[in-house]
Amino acid sequence: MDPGSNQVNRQRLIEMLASSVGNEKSQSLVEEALAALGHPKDALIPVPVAQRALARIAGGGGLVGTAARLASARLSVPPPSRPTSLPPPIDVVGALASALGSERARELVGAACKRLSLDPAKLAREQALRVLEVLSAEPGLPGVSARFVRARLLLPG
Amino acid sequence: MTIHAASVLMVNGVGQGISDLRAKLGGRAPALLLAFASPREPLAGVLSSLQGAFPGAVVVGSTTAGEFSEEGERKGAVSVLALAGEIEAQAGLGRGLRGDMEGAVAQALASLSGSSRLPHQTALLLFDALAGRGEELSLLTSALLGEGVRIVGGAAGDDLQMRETSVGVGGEVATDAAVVVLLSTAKPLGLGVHHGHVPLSPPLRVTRAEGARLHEVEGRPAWEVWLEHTRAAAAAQGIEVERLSPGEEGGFLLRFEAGLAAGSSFKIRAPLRRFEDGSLLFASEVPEGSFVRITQSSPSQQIASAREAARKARADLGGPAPAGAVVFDCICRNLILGEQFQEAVTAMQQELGGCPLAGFETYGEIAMGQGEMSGFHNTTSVVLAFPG
Repeated sequence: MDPGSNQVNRQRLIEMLASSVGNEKSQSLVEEALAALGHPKDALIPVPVAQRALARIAGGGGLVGTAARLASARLSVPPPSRPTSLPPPIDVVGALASALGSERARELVGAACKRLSLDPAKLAREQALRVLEVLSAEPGLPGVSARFVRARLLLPG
Repeated sequence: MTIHAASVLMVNGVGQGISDLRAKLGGRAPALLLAFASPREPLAGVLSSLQGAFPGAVVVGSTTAGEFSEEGERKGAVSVLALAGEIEAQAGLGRGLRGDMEGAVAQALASLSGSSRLPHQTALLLFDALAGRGEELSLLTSALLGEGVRIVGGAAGDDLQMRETSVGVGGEVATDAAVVVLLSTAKPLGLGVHHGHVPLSPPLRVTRAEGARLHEVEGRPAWEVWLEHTRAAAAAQGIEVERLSPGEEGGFLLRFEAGLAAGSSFKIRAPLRRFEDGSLLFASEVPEGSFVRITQSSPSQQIASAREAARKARADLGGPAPAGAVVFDCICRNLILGEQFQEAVTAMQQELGGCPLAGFETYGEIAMGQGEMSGFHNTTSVVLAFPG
């Protein structure tokens, strides 16, 4: 990703999947997904478009799907610099997406935020911890993921 | 306080091995015991005996296709690495990799807290590669533990029978399962990875595959294509591909593995067995539409790559001399090297400064550094060094 540009190089996107599925397969997956989204030739891809392309690839499931979910999570955009000294919001959806997929993570975080009367787009650290505490009680993978993200947030540094 | 490591190669029974281990530990209480047992030594019994002898330790293990330590390499033995001092370990077992891998990983991680007073975390994975989902397992574990946790591990073996492999925690042992150990240390651990394979065939398109089962390559049964492209190289090694017995096929396939081009290098993917219809079962998914090259390696390349993995692990420690090391080494290295395998172990030990080491011959290796997007390897030496 080009720092500050909110764009990702097409080749970088291909490389992210290539380590799991090979160069040729990765290239065809990325090109098909970008073409379907109307970006067949662009060398630089806006990150939201890249994430939609990865979500499309992830829909195939299996190894390809898992690799695409992890790539999507690693493509998180650095928060834009702010005029105030407020700390940036915590991206709980992004932190859970690599394990659960973006849609499922957004759905779970949205439900927890609704229950706590919080805005999922503006979670400060303490609020994010409360959301993750709620999600930690979920059975299976969502609960385990929430516990680990919460532990990371609590660890110093 | 630093880390203290002790290793034993148990060749005269577990009871004698435990006595030897106690002596080497010199009164220190181990935090973690890694036990790699031949299928001839029931894993549940080995782990229970070790847990009984060291009740405060986390005890984990797997079955193998060969065991080794700095004392040598054997079949029918148990190799054990004990780690004491400034190291914390938590472990969990997840069952049902084939049916619900995410559920199995969640089950394994459910007993881990994820937090520690020590700053550096490394996850160690032991798993059943016959479930065929090694790469997904490494990616999902990385997703759950976070980008900052490196992942290292090996796939259990069964002396090339390719029927059933097991992993366990304490007295609980299972097939179709994975063990996750979360290690926390004061200093970062050293990781080294290397394989010595080169392409033998041109790129070959995977035209039909389901999960880890590769049905067709270039529109033909995968086994038929494998025989065609390896015939000459196998003959040079004294192997007539048309005369392979069913018992020899697993070993043959591990000499001629698939290489998946990733960037400017190759990720090796191991075919484990063939089916009557000519399809091949791999240790990890090989997606339809991908291109593979059949690879091979020479004995000298195999010894050099083992040495290079150990050199990288030591360099990755960033200064401290290694206190000990665990090595996950593909069974194919043993097949290629035969009696020369000990030279590879000796080379690794030399690079590691003569520290205790223990390892086993695997059906797949895992090494995923920070920020990496793939963790599963085959035909590779993975060395994890612990700082002194």
